[in-house]
Amino acid sequence: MGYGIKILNDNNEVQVDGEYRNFSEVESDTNVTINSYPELISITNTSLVPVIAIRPDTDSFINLFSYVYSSPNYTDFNVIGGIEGPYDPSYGVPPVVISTTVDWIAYTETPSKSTETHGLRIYNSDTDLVFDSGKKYFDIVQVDQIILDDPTHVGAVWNRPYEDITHSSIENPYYILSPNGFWWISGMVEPGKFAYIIFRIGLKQISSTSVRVGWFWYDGGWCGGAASTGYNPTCNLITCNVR
Amino acid sequence: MSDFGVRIKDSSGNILLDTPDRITRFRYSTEVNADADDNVTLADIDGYSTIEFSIMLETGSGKCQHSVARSGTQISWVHQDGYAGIVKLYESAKSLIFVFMYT
Repeated sequence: MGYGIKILNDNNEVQVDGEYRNFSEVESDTNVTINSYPELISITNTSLVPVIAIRPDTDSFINLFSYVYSSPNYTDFNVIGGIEGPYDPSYGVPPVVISTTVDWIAYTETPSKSTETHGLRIYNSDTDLVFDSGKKYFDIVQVDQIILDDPTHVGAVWNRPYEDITHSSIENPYYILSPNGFWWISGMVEPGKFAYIIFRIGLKQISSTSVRVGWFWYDGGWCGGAASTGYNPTCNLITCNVR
Repeated sequence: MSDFGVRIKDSSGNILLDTPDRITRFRYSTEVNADADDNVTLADIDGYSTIEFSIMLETGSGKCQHSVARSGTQISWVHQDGYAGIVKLYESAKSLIFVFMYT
């Protein structure tokens, strides 16, 4: 490292690093309504790869589903929410998304210096800004691995497994949950007619210091046969500090 | 009181960064095609905790992002798709792979 600085704290953790460009907050919003399928949320166009963390509400599961890239910019992201259910296409109406809200923050590599006149600013040998104390940085404070049981439908009972995660050292943080799962359950609802429900894994706030990670009903419709199968990964729940 | 580290204040005396704080550092990202399985070796992550994850760049009811894992200093990603009989139920999406160092 020809330029920069590396500072370690008492725990021998890297406190400030002049070698790697840190991600800082570039945009945020709160109380954004989720009631579409999925909900498309616009960001200010950026050619820099963003990381977007979300904070769910207490009333329904959501998850960040995908980013939208239209060369050369990232332009939007999609958030999915749960549907009212168990959905039955026999009713002749499409699935209805449970309305909820989300708060979000987008981070990118620091594109420009802050207006702060006091503090510390570090550049690397390419004159890229790698740290600026006037910025709000992406900061991971906790990582939990989540292993959920598969969803099931036995008789009239739908089982949507979940796990509650506590982060006592931080209140009202933002989260990233990845990867997402996919589970498909289908069965006969009328003679010769089969319906399916798709489950995804999402987040629902429990309290300021805890969050629920669980399967939720995401989609449904008609299909050709009965099955219960899918992709149930070990998920990483990344809890992020907001400076 | 911490013996090591730096405390940074703004012009009003508010602490912007304190000695116990640490900043998550961005190490790597790449865009991978839907069906791509691959890996990268990042020698400099040796001795550090990292988090590696993926975000989809496509939207669709049956789309799934790549799973990402670390072994030593190697980060690998694997696409995901699955069938019920001959019917494809879920399929891999083009994804962004991220690696951050947080200790």
